[in-house]
Amino acid sequence: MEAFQKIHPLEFYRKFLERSVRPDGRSLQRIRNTTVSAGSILTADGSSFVKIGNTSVICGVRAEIAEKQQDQTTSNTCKSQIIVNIEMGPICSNIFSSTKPSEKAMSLCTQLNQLVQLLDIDPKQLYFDVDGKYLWYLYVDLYCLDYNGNILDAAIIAMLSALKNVKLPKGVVSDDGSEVYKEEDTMRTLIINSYLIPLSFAVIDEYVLSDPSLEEEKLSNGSISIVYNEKRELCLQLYSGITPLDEKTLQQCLDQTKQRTQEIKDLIDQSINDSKDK
Amino acid sequence: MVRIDKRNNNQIRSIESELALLNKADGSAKFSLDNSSVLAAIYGPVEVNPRKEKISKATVEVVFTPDSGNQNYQTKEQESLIRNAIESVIMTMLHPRTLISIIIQVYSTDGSIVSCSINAACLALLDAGIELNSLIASISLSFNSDGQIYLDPTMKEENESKATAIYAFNSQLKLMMIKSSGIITEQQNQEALQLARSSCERILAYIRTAVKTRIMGDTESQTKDTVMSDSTK
Repeated sequence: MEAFQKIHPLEFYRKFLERSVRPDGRSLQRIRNTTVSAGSILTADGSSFVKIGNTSVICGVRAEIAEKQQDQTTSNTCKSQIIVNIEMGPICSNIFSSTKPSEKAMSLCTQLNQLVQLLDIDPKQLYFDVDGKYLWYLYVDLYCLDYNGNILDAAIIAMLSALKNVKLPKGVVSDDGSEVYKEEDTMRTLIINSYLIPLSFAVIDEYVLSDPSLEEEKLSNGSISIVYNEKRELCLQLYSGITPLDEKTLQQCLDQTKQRTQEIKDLIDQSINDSKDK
Repeated sequence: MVRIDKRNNNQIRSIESELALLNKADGSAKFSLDNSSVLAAIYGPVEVNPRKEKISKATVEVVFTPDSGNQNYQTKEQESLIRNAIESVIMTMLHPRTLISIIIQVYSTDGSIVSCSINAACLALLDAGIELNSLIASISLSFNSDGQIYLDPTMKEENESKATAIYAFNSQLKLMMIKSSGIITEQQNQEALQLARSSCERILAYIRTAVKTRIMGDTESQTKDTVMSDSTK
């Protein structure tokens, strides 16, 4: 049986998929066990650790203070104040090299940066002092530790729970504006009301597999990623593959992602509450 | 409601294309939507670096060079979108253990650059005579904060928009690639898909005309847009 799996992986999968089950025992729609723990890195300003099955991502947020730039208009967006980076080194899989970021990591990074802008954050939340002469810049660094497929979902959940976990000290600027202090004993939590609800799929033949593992991703002839927000508006929709995508399939995936809203919200809220008790 | 450049919401900019303008390349094409202009060159099937070699099919490589500056994370993402879309139409199993290299050089950027590149690559592949299982055409859309959907946005429209989307369809008008980012409602999404499909149908018609004109030996190899001007349906 093992030999069959190695030599004809696709045939091996088909035998299972015909019976609507996957080799790891999951049904086609079943998502692997997901755990989120926020505040796991004490030295960071906000952090989280997310596991989806074996895929694990750790995320840390570093807050830095910078003077407000002159050209930065008082528009009500906090664009470019949150910078996301994801590292997928050889620690998570032998397909990645340590020298330069892989194409996968680069695309992922661009997508995460686009998504973070869609979060509904009041710009005042990122003011260092009361007047907003100085601003907080948040550097969100994600590290993939174990890569077993569906990195996008794991990264999004990690990013969101780490940002919701961010605690910032109260900032004071001296009267002449030359010095800044942090009052570490009065911390406030960054308030983010929105959520991102991600779900990815792999298409193998005509079967659609939710939350694919790495092997399933490799065998697939197309992959779909969908991200909704809590208001059930579409934030990201991605399909690429070597076979055309049926619109019914796309609709099914959209519906399935929407159904996950409450589950993801609960997961993240639970982890944030747990971290407060610590 | 009229846009800044006096187009209707569902109007594509005027298309221009030119085939086989490079000597050394196996196939080349230029595709432009007004100020967005892209040159694509194809080399292949050629020998492949053993590390990238695939036993059962050809490796497809896309090099996307922006008009200014070096490649950054964003252009890398665009590059992988283009590769995914193009790879899906090439019959890679006909040339195992080879490389098909697609070089895309942007002349000038004014929005919808990924779509422009995919269309240019399709024309170049046709010029190179590489076996395709279908044609591919791509279109971009932008979603405004007031709920309007603009077809084929310029760079200004893209920057001011709430969301953008890129679609690619094959000759059977089946969805080959989709990437939307930004906040879109369900209804807009449905609407956008239909709009993208009908526009890709027009671009496919243009691609067919362009290749026909080239093969039939029209005195002027440059095909001016005629199909697109009456785009208001």
